[in-house]
Amino acid sequence: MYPDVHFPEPYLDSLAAAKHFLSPEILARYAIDPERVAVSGDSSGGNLAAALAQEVHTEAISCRDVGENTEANPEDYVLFVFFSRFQQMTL
Amino acid sequence: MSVKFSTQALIYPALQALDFNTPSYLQNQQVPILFRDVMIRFWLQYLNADLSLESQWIVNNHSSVDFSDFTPEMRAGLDWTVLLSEKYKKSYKPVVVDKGSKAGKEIPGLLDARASPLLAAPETLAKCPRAYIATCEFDVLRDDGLMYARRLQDAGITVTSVHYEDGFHGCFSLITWPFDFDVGRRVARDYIDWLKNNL
Repeated sequence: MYPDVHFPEPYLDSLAAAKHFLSPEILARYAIDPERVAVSGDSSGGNLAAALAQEVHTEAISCRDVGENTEANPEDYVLFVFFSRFQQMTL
Repeated sequence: MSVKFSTQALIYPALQALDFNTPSYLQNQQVPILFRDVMIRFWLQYLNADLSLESQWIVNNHSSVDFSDFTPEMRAGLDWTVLLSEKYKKSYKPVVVDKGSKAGKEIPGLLDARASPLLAAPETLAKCPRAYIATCEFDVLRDDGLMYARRLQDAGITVTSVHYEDGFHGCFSLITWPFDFDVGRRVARDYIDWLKNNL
């Protein structure tokens, strides 16, 4: 939290979490449908979510094949939410 | 194979720190919960800038025309005179300072799209996942969200932009007793419904 932590740390933390979450190992372990992962947040969380969407979709994340292993129920979806508001980051 | 996000859902997001004189910043500067000067202070803190710069930033001295690192392309990304509809522009006039204090020059994150996603180029936006963006009328950040919705759409992305005429910043979190606001419940319900149908 501020003043110890500021940009880019929260962004980089979020990006690391996103990459971890989107990795084949984690998707398989929790039976996550890779077609149904969203990034979301409110206020400053929306800032991080938008920034992550830009980064993740413009870089080539190196992932191995994830097709064979998941037993995800198509009805399930995973919501990947960052509820980190400016208040939490700064106060 | 690389896994990406299927969607992005943004609830009244903060998306730029270059213009604190958008119509919504001006219209809602005294509206609780998120006052304009408080939001500016949050940005100063997030970007690790000197808090004494608040008086400069509030009049856009940090994004003056002579701050050449802030390129015309970047400026276009958050030009509300182009990106907002008349309904939101009302009679507000843009605050553009010709010669500023260079109050933004030494702050590395200020022109970084990872901090201000509205600075991203159209080519970047064109690769983004489809989006759900909720905005509230009584929110300094209203125009950040509206402009981002417009820019994503212009880049060819499918966007569901939902605006709450009676919404205010923070209402999405104020849905349990004793601070349970009807509009907050609607924001939350619409968000969940959209995810159910689109994710």
